[in-house]
Amino acid sequence: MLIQGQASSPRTAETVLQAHWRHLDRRQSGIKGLLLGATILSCGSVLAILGFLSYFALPIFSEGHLAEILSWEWRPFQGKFGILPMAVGSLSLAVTAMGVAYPLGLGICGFAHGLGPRCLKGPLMGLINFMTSIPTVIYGFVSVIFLVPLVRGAFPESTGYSWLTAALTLSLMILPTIVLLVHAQLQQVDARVRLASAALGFSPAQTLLWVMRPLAFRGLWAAAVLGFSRALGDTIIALMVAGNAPQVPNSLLDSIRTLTSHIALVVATDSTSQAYQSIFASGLILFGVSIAVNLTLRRLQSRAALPATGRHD
Amino acid sequence: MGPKKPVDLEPTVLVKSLHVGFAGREVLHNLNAKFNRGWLAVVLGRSGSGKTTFLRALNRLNECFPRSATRGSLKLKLQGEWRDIYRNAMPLPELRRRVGMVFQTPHLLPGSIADNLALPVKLVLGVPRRNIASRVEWALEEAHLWDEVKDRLNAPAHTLSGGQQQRLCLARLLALEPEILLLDEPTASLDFRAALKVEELLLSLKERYTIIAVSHSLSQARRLADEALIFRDGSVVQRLSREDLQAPDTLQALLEEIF
Repeated sequence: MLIQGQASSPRTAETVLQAHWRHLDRRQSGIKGLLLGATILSCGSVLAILGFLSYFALPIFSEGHLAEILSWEWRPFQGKFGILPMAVGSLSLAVTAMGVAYPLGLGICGFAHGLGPRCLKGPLMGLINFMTSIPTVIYGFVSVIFLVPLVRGAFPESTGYSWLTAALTLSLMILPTIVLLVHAQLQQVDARVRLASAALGFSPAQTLLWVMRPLAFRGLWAAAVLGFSRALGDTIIALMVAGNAPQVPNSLLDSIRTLTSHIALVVATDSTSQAYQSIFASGLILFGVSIAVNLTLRRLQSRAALPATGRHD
Repeated sequence: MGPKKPVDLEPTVLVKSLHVGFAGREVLHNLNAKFNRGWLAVVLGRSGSGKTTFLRALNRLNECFPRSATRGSLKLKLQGEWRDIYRNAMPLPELRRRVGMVFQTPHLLPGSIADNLALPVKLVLGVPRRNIASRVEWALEEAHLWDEVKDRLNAPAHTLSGGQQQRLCLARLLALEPEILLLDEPTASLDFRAALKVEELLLSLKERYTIIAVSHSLSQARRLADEALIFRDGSVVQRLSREDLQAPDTLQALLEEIF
């Protein structure tokens, strides 16, 4: 169509071309509209959740229950509805699970990218991929059968349903998330730098540490954020193996209750009392912590991006 | 028609019946060649004739690719001592430091201009921290880059122009004290002016090193080469001296052979 127009006369060619551009313009604005709609929808949903939570948590503030809910004791039958032990439980569990899973994940990625034998890379990544497809409840279930008795056997003073058990199980659950994110980023970087840094005489370990790590920092941050968010948001594993005692733990062998399992437990048993209100406060805290972690890491990331990162494309 | 050799030429690379293949497909067949210190050799040939594979055989970089297989003898004279790098080899990092390579496009390390030189010097050569700055300066001088970058050594390396980046890669190489330089179309990604600067640099370096450069450009070969090797289908089919390269009739034949 375009070529015909050009062939006949310059004026027609121009009009044909203009019509073509108008068509492209229309299509482009159509796509833009679609994307804008999707953006509004997803942002709207998040804001709606925040609004919904705040609305239901409002009576806590207006009726002056805030001090009661932000206290250290949960004894509903004595009218004590403190959820701070659960907040501590959630944070401790997420941090310890990350403390195990993140170094392990980085180790696995290092192994797959030059530190280990090449022939093991495929099976290893296959296994990690397989792990993503296992439902979370299976992790909890297997943990109840194997890990809980193991912990109980090793530490007779514990019931086995403990912070330690939950942290280990949870770290397995978030491991694939971390590995796959870091691996994807390393793979991208690897293709760019592998030959050149080998030619300089770098060993695979040196390449990984000094060349690929700085180039892959975005993936490393993203994996940390997502891993932590998943650990914080998990419900079923904490519910099944952490023991659910509403207390601030003194040791890894103590039983803990997370905000997420608190919500699940209260929703399942009660829907009228002030206990019910406490779950909205729990939800709000979880929401707030997630957003705070995201924003903090985003800020760190953009600050880290300022000095030279050696993009050379 | 072999090249006329001055008497003091010192051979440093001896290749005898070299075969290189990947996943059962042979790329280099029965390749024989000899290179000397103080002598700039240019490898010419069509795409796919095995030029790059040949260069990568010399620093064993082909082994970074899956299922590579190398047969034959490849002897290098390093530190005054002949060794077959595929038999009684030195450790790979040591070999690759002594047999440096520059690629078609500049491959920068993350970080600043100074980092790009300091990191390999520190990691590969183990130079103590206090001596690194002077070595960085020396290498940048060697690569004719010092005057252009001395005021912004801490600027990100990717802010340099393409030609400067390629000379930075050469400086990085020289900082590691190599004996043999492998250049894989070092000016392919540069404009004419930047390419000339790199060529000038190479000519100033050739006295002290063994330089083997792959090129796509016949005119570049005529400007640079003391000797040209013509590759076809994975072996050397012709060797041309500097005089041969200047002669118009050889040139015509060459144009038909390569392009």
